[in-house]
Amino acid sequence: MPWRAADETLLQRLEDESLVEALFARVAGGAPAGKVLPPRAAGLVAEVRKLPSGAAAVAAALAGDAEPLARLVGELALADAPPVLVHHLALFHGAAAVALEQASPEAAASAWVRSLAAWFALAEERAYLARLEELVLGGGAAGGARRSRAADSAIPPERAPLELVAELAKRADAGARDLSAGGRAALLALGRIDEAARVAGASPPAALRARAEAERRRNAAIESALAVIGEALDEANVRGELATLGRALLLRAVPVWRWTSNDEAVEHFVVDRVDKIGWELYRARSWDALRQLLEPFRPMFDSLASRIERDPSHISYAAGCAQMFVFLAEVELHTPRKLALAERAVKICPTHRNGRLVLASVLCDEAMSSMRAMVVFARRDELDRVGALLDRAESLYPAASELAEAREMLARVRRGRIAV
Amino acid sequence: MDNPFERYDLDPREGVSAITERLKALAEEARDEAERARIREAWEELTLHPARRLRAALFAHPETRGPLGAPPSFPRRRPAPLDAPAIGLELRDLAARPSVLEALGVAAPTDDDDVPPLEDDPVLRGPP
Repeated sequence: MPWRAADETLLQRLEDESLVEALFARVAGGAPAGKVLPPRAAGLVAEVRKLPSGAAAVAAALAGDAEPLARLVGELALADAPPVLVHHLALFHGAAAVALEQASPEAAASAWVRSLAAWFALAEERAYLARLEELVLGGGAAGGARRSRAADSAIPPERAPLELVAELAKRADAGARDLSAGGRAALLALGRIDEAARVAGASPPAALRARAEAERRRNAAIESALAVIGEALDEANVRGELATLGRALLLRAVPVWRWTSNDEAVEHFVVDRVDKIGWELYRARSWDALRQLLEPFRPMFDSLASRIERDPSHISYAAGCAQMFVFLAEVELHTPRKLALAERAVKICPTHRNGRLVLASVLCDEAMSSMRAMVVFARRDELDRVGALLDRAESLYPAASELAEAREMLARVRRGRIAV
Repeated sequence: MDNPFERYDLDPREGVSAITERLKALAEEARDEAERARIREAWEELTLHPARRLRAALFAHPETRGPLGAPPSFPRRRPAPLDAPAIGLELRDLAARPSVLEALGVAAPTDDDDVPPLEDDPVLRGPP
């Protein structure tokens, strides 16, 4: 029985099926392709065979070395690749992302970014997607009504990346309530739009459009994750239980912060809510409870403070963040740490009234503590330092209650001690 | 992403008629009512909503595999002798690829048992 061309084609299809599975297992960290890749995905390898170095890579993979094939697929210049291969890659990397999300949301996000890059490349090329659309909707040679209906249903090529952005947003939103790994991967990918656009060589307007859409949807997903905490806190507030239950409810924001990879929106939310609970505890003079409330959120306060210090455009969040450091300074018992926290509050928001008051107060305490150590002798440089501390305290908050006492004490020390 | 084009091996480029024809055939072969309902749902999804059809097409792998040809015509075989090996296969049942034969420097083997396939059998075909 002779070996026919059809037999050769069939054999090649079978080889391609096994190679795409091997490639998938390699890209998706060993995940089996069977459940996520349809048989038609083998067409990816059929397209790779047509590339100049594709046949050699496929031959090597058939001989057991899939490395050249994986490298070729991974390093392919999307802008120059055949669009049909890029279409395969967009879906292949999307399937890899889904397979990876439980084991490693970060790796899944990278796969999503590769998929998004492929969609960007297809959108830039335009002709392939336009042709596909024409074939699917049948608008080309159709009559008026049908053509009009096709036009209504059309997805312009430039919107193709936004379709994946919408899919990612859906996944992020679905995972927001239970902070799922898949949602986290999608959220991470939505934050890496620029990277995908760069890989694809997408035009700046295309990148800008996708980034704006991704940011909007990303924020919505984060809001969904926070909404459940916000609702619980509001209910506690209505029942007058904010001081007693607030901390426990707000603690749920810590995993949300991790889930969002330390997103700034979570920090704003926490600062806003801690402020409300914190004042209740402050007014009740519940210092231990206030200390306990603040402790789990310190990394968030530090993070937000750093953002404000780095970027002056964050000025609108400065006062709220400074108040957190004021609270921290108020409950801190160790004087140098207390001073550092009060200094940070004033650094973040130089006009913050409470920050200036607390810092002035701490400076007075520090000055008086130094003067109490001067029993018989007082070093001149130490007296000068104490004087400088009080001058600064006065410049920060002239009405600080400890200031007059501290000034009086300094005058007594200057008169009564032997300066050396 | 569960895609009806991939689930039912439909080519989005072939249009609504081909989708309908293929899904109709699948529905007729469906094992139970639930499966038939799923097929109907897919048909509605793909044919009644062009925008959804296009979106599903975007998220379906394009068909770029080589076309499947006709299956080979198997020649008739004499009944196997009673003392034949249990597996029922012999060396002559294996077809070597042309590239292998070329590497070995041998011509394509001739088979004593080779007889024309049924459709080419002059007896069955009758007079021209």
